[in-house]
Amino acid sequence: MTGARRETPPFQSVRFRREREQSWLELEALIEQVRTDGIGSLSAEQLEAFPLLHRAALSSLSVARAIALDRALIAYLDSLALRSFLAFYAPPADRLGAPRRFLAETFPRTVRALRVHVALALAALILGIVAGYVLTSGDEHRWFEALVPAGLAGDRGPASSREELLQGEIEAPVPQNALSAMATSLFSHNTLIALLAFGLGLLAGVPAILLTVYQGMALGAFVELHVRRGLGLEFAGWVGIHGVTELLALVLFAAAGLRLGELLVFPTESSRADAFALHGPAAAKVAVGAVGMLAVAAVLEGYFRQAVQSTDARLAIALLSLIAWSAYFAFAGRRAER
Amino acid sequence: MERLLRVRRPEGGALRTLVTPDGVPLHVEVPSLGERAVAFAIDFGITSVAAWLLLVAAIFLAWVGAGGGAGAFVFLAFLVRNAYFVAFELGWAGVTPGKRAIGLRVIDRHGGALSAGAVVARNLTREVETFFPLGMVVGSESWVLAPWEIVPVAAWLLLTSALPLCNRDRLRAGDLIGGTMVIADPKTVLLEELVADRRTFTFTTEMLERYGILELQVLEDVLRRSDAFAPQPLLVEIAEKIRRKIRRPEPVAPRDAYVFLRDFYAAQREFLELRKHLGDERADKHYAERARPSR
Repeated sequence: MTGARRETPPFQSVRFRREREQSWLELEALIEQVRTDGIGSLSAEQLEAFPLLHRAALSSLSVARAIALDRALIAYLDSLALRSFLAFYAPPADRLGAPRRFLAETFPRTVRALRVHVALALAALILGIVAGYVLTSGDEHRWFEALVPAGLAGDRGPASSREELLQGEIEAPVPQNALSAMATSLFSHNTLIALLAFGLGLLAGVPAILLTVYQGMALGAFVELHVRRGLGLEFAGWVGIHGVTELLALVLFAAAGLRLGELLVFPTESSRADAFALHGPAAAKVAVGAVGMLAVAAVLEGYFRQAVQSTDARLAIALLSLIAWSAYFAFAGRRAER
Repeated sequence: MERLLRVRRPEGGALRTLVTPDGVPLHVEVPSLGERAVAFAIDFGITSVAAWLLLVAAIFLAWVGAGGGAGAFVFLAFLVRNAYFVAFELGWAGVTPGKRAIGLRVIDRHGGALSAGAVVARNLTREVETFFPLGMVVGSESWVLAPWEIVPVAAWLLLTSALPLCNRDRLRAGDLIGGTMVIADPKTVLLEELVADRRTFTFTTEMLERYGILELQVLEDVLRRSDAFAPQPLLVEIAEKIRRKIRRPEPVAPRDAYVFLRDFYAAQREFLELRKHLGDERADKHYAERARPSR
């Protein structure tokens, strides 16, 4: 049966491959160059050819799916088109512009868009502070210990005298090294609560509110402890110098968490995954900005609080930071919005 | 095409469809959780070593006293880790050294460009979903926990670590929020055309009526894994099976098995492509039973 080999005219899908193959290999070489040396390494002609070759590969894929039964060919075109697509839609090269735009426009604007959630979280925090204060003023021994975890309270408690609080806390000396101090304050209990409030938003938002209220209650208990010993203003300065920034960050985390919870319970799109994909990034942006605020708070707490010892100056910084943050969230990025 | 979506590849990953802005559906492969974990372990190792070196430098330059080492390390590791993931995933278009070693890539789940915001979101959430709860569990006394806080943290740990197991795209919380997914980096190898211009064996239309596309593609796999010269009992066996099925009277010599199969593949593919072109797509050898309306 061997021997007689006949010339057979190539059929449609074979001819198709022969005609297009060259352009596929060209595209493959371009993609490889973009992958290793970046899109900036392409010459003017190559830049012009890239979109044409990309489209040609996509059309080849569609044609191959329609006419060819060669599985290897379709798999090749499928992955070629995908690689070309990924090279084509790579992240923009403008890397410095992104953080600048984020701070100047995106972050304040996203916070404004979530203002209802922010208001709810703020209300939860204030409710917590008031409740903590009222409860502790009723029975300090019982409620201070119930509301404030032992590790957070340290040596402070119902047994502390006015002098102990003044020396051990309000007028404590500058820490030995700034980096460790900032690290400790960034990773303090409050930060953890803030991040938890955001992450737990995924559980329908209830824990986000609970944690915010609870955090407010612990703070309220501390306020009562100091007010009772005539240190109200001193404590306001001591906590406010970084607390304004930190608590605001906590509120933003909780607001972002609430938004996630809202998407989970009332998905705006046909599926929860789609709703998250569409609106989740906005909530995440708020959280990203709030992490930046926590870093600012860490610097204020770890360094400035001890460097600035006068209560008046501390209160001034606290007030200034409140005004600055309010103005930032109220006005930054408004012009670009229109 | 429908079947292709459900097929699990022998190499591991399952296939998903991604529609490009040009409206062409592309198939992406979802990597296994093991691959994700190994890639992460590599990146985590690199960043930990970098943070440790920074800490040594910091102690050497007396920025940090020996006592503050642990706190400063956590802080430095946090900075290094986030800078590393965000910088690489933006600069290398969704790839970090660990992902490159394993062959993974982060993409926008809806077929757009991977934005800086999405990259930051998915990495920050990694911090929230993994490291903070881990830190709390590992060093719980230093994290000043009220007893009831342990309950939501434990629930959170369980939920987030189980999340990639609960969805078919293996998304973790960060992917969900950032609108991203991790895919196996596509590799492109253009295998040679199996259809030769010169053929030895010829087949009648009647002989080509026996099989459908499924059998054709199984034969394609067999041919691509064989070579023409090594004697292969499997090829001889398949050739004999096909010869009987298509009722071809002349026997095939064992040394001609490869050529016979290759020529049969070419003729069968030409025939089935023509049938498909004419609106008669034959998925497998049972096409005739399906075409007939059942009574």
